[in-house]
Amino acid sequence: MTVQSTVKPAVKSKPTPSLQRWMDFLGIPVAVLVFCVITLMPTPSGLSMQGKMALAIFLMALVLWVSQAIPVYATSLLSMVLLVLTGAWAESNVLGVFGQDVIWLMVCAFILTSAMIKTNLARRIALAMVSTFGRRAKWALLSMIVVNGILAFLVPSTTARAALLLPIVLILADVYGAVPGKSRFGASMMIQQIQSNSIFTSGILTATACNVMAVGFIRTMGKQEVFYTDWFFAEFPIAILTMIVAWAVGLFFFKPEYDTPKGQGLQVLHDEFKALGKLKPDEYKAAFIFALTVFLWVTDKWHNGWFGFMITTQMTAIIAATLCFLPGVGLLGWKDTKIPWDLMIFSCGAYAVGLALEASGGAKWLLDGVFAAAGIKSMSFWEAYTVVIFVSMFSHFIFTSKTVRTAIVIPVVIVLAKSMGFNPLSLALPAAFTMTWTITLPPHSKPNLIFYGTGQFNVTQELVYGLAVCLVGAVLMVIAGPTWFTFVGVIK
Amino acid sequence: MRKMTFALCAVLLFAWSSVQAATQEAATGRAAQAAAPEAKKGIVACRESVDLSPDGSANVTMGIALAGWDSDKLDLPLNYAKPENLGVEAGDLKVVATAGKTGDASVIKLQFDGKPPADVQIKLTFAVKKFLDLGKAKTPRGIFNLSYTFTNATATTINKYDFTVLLPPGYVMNGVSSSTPKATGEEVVPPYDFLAQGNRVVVNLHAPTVGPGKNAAIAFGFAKDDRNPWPLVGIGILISLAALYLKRDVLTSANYAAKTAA
Repeated sequence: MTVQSTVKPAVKSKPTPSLQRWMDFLGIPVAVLVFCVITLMPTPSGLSMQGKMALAIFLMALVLWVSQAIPVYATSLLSMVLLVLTGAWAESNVLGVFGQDVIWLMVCAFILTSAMIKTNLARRIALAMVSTFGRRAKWALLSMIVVNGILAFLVPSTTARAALLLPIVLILADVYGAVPGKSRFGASMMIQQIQSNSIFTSGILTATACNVMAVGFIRTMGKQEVFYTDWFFAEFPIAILTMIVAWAVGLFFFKPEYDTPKGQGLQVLHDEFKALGKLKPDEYKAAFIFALTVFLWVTDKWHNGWFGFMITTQMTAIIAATLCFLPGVGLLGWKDTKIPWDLMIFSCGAYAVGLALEASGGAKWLLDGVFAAAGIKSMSFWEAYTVVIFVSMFSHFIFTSKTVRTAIVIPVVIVLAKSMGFNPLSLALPAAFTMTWTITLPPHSKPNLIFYGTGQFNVTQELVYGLAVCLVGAVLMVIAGPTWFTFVGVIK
Repeated sequence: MRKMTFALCAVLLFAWSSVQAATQEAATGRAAQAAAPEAKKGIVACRESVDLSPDGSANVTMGIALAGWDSDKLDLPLNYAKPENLGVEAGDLKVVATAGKTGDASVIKLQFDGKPPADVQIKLTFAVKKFLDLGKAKTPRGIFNLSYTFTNATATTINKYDFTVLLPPGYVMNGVSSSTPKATGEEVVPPYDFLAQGNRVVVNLHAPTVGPGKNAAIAFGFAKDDRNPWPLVGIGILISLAALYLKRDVLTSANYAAKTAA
């Protein structure tokens, strides 16, 4: 069967938007100004000097990452230096970020990806997927969103899911001719993976630990039970609706360069798929390592019973990486591994700034300040509900950990609801639905960093697309308040 | 066949989710059962408040709440060197307070005039000349490090412990370096907080219980908020001007896209 190719002309290098030039030109002075203003302002009540400095460095770095006036990894290194020199965070803490689980997980995910790519297993899976679902670019994007949604039921770790899908999306991007940093298709595919990872997680109580933690707060502080099905029926439809809109928004923001793979007819890909022939021994080995990794990630809550100890997500990744290198069994030499060290450095700096902001209490201070500035205590229920949804949705800007964010935001919302005479569940549960939405900047979560490591998109692209989707999500949840959430009994 | 496969997948997916949900609900049920409240007796609460002066001396106030105390004496842990002007109030109950030792541990010995009533509040006040040695506590960065450890040297569990430090006027909190109980960032009520009270900053430590021989502690830094702004402003202006000069062709360059891609 020959599929008619709908080739579009090769993408010409469009003139760079003047906004990007202005950001590049003014990025450093604006970053310096932001840093100086916050550093020199009197330390506000409830904020420590360390918190003030962490906030100054965080906002300065944000300006530099978004404007790209200097390379993102240089901004990270500068941030690490400033954290130490200003006393915002101890040197041992800053340097210790390189030992964080997320960095190890990224390294191992890229090793596993290298093995999958070298053996052609990832290419085989990607080609099979493209032949079945992804005959056109937009359906390829949608199919990967659906795969992410299905995995959310099976793998209770956002990071593990990201590591799992990384090799597949990398090859899919390659099949569609996505050159890192230049392709709109590649950018939208990677960012949509981050978004679907986060947003589908919000619809499933057991998909991440912070959802369970939020339910725990509602039980202990709000004295109300939330069960798996309560959560699922309330939020999962919203998650699906948001992802459909996010997919459409992605097609608008990042119109794929080609409608079919590399602008060629599918026959070429069919031929390439056929040329791969039967599974080779190395592919079997890669498939075994991959399957073992998935098995360990899926069954993590039973490890203690089986082995007497828990094999964590990152340790599973290290086991997989080890197997890839073992002589006789393994598939890779060190030279075969493709680890983007510039992005590891970026991740370290970004993570250090975020952790310093949390550890110094700066993040909580900002959150309390926003609620106070909104004058929430004198509002009606629906006004307060709207403010809570928007503040909790966008609070991920100042946190790097979903767990810490949940531990800070949900109790604040429960106390707020009680003090205003509202049912705590009615404000806290919708707020809890937003806790996994961490989709606007790379340091916001581990899946962000993993997909950012592909180099397919830049900070500005993720920020703009992420803000748009967060806005859509917040508006949908506000609309769902008096309608769907009231119908399913979340709002009483 | 495809429909059958799809239906089978959906059933498997739902079954898997149900197993996860059941596991989670069983775990949370066990946690809820474990949390049963208990009536508290003995030293119900202990609160220490330290009003720190710029010279390092401090006025200390201790508040003790007793419930069902069935002895006419009480040894309170004393974690300050050489308390002076020791005063005590306990409402209608007559109490004599003296600083002394029990074994190796410094204590304030309270002698009641008979067995105290069911609930009693005791307030102790005293001054400490060298609460903080400013010379030793100051770092080259100009930050004063204060570390305080409350050791419960009594044989009684203290059911609630709070420690408060009022920093001298004009000083602000730099940051907390450690605390017992430890702050994990995931607790509903953090073990410490700090806020402004007029022109002073108050640092609070909260511990739910301090058992016999156990500690509650905090180590933090504070400093004068009077940084000279001009060096930073000068450096900032220099960096900004240099950046604008070095990037002077960014707005006009014809091959900007090629340069940035490189």
